Amino acid sequence: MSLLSRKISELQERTAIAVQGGGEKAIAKQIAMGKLPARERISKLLDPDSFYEYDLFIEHDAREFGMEKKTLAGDGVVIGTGMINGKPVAIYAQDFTVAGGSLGSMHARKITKIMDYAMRMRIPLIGINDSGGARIQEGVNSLAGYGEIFFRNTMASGVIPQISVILGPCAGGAVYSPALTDYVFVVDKISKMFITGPEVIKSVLGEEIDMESLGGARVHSEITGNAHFFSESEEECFAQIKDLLSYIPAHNSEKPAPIKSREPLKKFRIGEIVPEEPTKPYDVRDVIRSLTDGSEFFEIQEKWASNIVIGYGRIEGRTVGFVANQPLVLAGVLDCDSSDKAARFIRYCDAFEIPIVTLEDMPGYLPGVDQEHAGVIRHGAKLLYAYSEASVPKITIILRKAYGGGYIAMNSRHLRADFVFAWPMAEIAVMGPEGAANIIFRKEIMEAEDPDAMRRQKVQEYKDKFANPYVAASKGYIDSVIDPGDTRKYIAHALKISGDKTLKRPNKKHGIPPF
Amino acid sequence: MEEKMGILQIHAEGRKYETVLTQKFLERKVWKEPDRSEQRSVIPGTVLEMYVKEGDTVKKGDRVMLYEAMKMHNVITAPFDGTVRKIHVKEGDVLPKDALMINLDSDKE
Repeated sequence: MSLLSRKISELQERTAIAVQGGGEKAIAKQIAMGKLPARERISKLLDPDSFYEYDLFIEHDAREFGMEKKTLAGDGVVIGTGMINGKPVAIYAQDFTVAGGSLGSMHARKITKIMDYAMRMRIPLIGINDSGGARIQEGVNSLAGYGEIFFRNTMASGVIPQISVILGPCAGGAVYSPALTDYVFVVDKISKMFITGPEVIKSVLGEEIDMESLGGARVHSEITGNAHFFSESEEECFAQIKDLLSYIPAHNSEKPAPIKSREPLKKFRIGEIVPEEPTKPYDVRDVIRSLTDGSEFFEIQEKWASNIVIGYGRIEGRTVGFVANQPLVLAGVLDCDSSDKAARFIRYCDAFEIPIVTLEDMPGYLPGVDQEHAGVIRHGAKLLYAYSEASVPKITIILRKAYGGGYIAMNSRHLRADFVFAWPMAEIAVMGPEGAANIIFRKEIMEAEDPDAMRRQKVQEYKDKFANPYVAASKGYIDSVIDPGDTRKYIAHALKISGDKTLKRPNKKHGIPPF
Repeated sequence: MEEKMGILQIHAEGRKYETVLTQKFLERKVWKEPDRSEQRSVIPGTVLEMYVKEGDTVKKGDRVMLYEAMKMHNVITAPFDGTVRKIHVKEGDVLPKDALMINLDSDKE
C-alpha cells in the first residue's frame, strides 16, 4: 500500500467514525422520537449531492468534570454549504445524538464560522436547531457562544435571509437565535420552544402545563407568532423552505431577474369574490390568487393573527409581498398582533427590495379593553412606521372598506404609497356611515318624531355622499378608480415603471420604531 | 411563592429570591387547560341568528350561528363533528370578547 492510499484510508476511517455522530444507539433513539439524524436532514433539504461539510474533525475543549476524557463527534453540530433550487446556501444542523446537541464553545465556533461564510459570500443561512441547550460543563464559555451567534444574527439581519428550522427542543437562551432570524419553521410534535420549561414554571409559580401546550409547534404558529411556517412532517417542512427560497433574493443587493410570467387560473374570477354588501365576509386570499402568476400564493404566518394576510406571490414573474386585510377573520380589523405581523413583513420586504402590494378592506381597529391594555397604540404604530419607512415600490388597492385610522395605516398616499387604486365599491371615509351619521346628525335624530327613521335616512344620506371612492379621488388621494378586472394590469404596470424608484431620506443613524 | 408585607419570596433552583411584583403580574390570568367544548366569542359583537339548538348534531364546518362584529356578518361554524350540549346565548345578545356561547361535545371524546 502506498503512503497516499494509507493516508486516504486513514481519512476514510476517521470520517466514518465522525459521521456516526452519537453512534447507532443514539441515532436509533433520534429516529424513535420521529426525528431524522442531522446529516440526513441536510441531504433531504439540499439538492442531491450538493452538500460540502466543514469542521468535521473539530474537538471540544472542555477540561472540567471529566469532559477531557470524552470525544464528541463534530462537537454536536454539522456545518457546510450546498445548493437549494440550484442556488447556494450555508447551513448548520445541530446533532442531537451527540451530547444532546448541547452547545459548547467549539460547537458555537462552528456555527459562527458558517454564519461568517454566509455573510462574506452573501448567501442565505439556514440553521437547523435540535439541542438540549447550553453545555453545562462548559459554563460561561457556552453562554459566550450563544452571544456570538446572537450578535451575528443581528448583523446579518437585512443583509442575507436567515432561516431557522426548529426540529427538536430549542429552549432557554437558545430560542433567541431563531427569534432574531427572519423565518422560523416548526414541525408538529417535534418542535419545542420556550425560555423556561414546565418544571421551572411549576416550581416557581405553581402553574402546571405540559411541554406541548407551553411551547409546541401549534402554540408558536397560532398563539405566540414566533413561528412563520407550520408543517406536519420534516419532509413537508423542507418543501416549504425550498418554496420560500424561490421567492426571496439571496441578499439585499440582489435584484432577481423576473421569471416567465403566467396568467392567474381562470377559476379565480376577481369580480365575483368580493360581495357587494359591505357586511358580507369573503376570503381575501382568493383575491390575491386571482392576481398572481399561476394563482400561486405563498402565505406566511397563516394561523397567527389571521385577520391580516401576508405572503409572497408573483406578478408577471416578479416577486411581490402581499399585505391584505382578511374580512373572513375578526372582520379584518387591525389589532396588536396583526399590526405587529404586517409591520415586520413590510420591513423584510423593504430590506430585500421586494415591492409591496396592499389590499385594503377593513372596518378599523378592534375595540376592547384587552386591546387597549395590551398596547394597541404602541403595536399599531409599528404598522405606520413600517409603511412610512419602506422605500420599495408600494401599491395599494382599496377593495371595499377603508375607514378612519385604518385608512391611513394601510399604506395610504399620506404614508407615501406610490400608487393607490380603488375599486368602484370602495368606501373611503373618516368612519362607517352608522357612526358618522349618529355624530353629525345627533341633534336632528334626537329631535325627530321618529328617531329611528331619521337615523336610517341620515345614514343613507351619508352613505350616498361619502361611502364611495370619489371624494378621495377628487382630492388626489387615490390615483385611479379601476374596474376590479383590471387590477392585475394596473399592478403590473406600476411595478414596471417603478423599477428604478429612488427616494431621498433624511440622514440618520437609524430611526426609533415603536418596538 | 409566599408573600410577606408586599415582599414576595420566590424559590427557584434551590435559592430564595425576595422581590416585589408589578400590578400587571398580580392581575395576570393564570393558564388553565382549555375546555375544547367551549365555543367562545373571539371579538365583541351581536348574535344575529342561531342555526342550531341543544341536542343537535353537527359536522365540522356546519353553520352554527350568524354573529355580527365590526359591521360584518360572520358565519360561525362547528370546529369539529359533535353534539350541541348547551347554548348560553340567544338571538340579539350583545357579547364581549371571550364570552361562552356554546358547549359543543366532540364525537371523538
